[in-house]
Amino acid sequence: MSVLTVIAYVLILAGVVVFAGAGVGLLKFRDTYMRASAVGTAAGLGIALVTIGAVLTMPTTANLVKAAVAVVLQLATAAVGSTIIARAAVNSGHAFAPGTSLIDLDEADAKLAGMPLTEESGPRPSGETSEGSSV
Amino acid sequence: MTPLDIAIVCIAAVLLASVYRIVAGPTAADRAVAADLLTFSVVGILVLIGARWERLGTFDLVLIATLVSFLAAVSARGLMGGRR
Amino acid sequence: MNASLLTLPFRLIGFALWFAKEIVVSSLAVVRDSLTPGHASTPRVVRMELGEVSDLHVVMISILITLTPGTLTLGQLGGGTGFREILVHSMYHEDDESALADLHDMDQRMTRSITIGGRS
Repeated sequence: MSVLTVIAYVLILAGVVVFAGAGVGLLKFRDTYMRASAVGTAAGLGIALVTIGAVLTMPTTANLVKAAVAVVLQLATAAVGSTIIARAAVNSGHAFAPGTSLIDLDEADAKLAGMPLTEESGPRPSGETSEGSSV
Repeated sequence: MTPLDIAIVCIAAVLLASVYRIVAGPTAADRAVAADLLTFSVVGILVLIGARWERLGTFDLVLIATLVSFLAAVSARGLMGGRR
Repeated sequence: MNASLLTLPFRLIGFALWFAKEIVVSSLAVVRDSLTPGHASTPRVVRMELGEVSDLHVVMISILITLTPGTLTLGQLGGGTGFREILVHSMYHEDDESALADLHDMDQRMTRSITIGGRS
């Protein structure tokens, strides 16, 4: 095995460990938010590590370019995706696990007096607005 | 068994875990999160299958799957209903 | 601090290395909790004040927080202009103070690494 292959396998192994952590977390953690936390990490880092590792086993120029674009997009969108789901869960009143310290959330609720997170109060407009700025 | 085979089996196990969470729930947000991980498991397996059998072109699939999974997360938000 | 374009790549690499170390460290808490019976987590939601920063800054720190194992951004408070605050869910911090200290440390390191000529 060449040095490059060894590096590739180490990266793939790291990615698989991150994935396994998310899998165990998804089964074991007590509420949606902890599960979303585990998945957010795995989605970004796990895919990035596995993809970089895989492309090193067959490093043609075309593959390297595609993998680089995929990794950048993955890191940018995966975490945002988890945040979107978590934010929707907060806004729709999904319960936190018993024992969660929510002082700041309650304060924020009182301060905003029912204004939902990140969006203006009042009826929802038909189209989505200001997605980029509100994440 | 090459190391890649073992990696594929491990991610397949994660895929099964996310399927269990989609079936068991209990809330819509849990299912959305699990569906997210299901997508990423499939992407991970695709990448590793591409590396294992040296198929060129798997990275095109990865690029597309990345974007589709983001759209899935955005639309999952709309399914969660009620606002606080 | 020299915030010129010339040092930008080195600062970015330095931040990437620090972030990688941070991920390994916080992974250990998650892995320890995952592999031992029972629940060791002490979940909490904290309000993190970012101050007057750009949209890009808010998005980037939110992404980095979500990518860090054990922490998750829940969203931004308010209308999205002026003074920025985000809500963060943390699993393994002992109290709100230590959680906010770690989050602000990451924010400052990120700001230092991406600043060009005084603007982030």
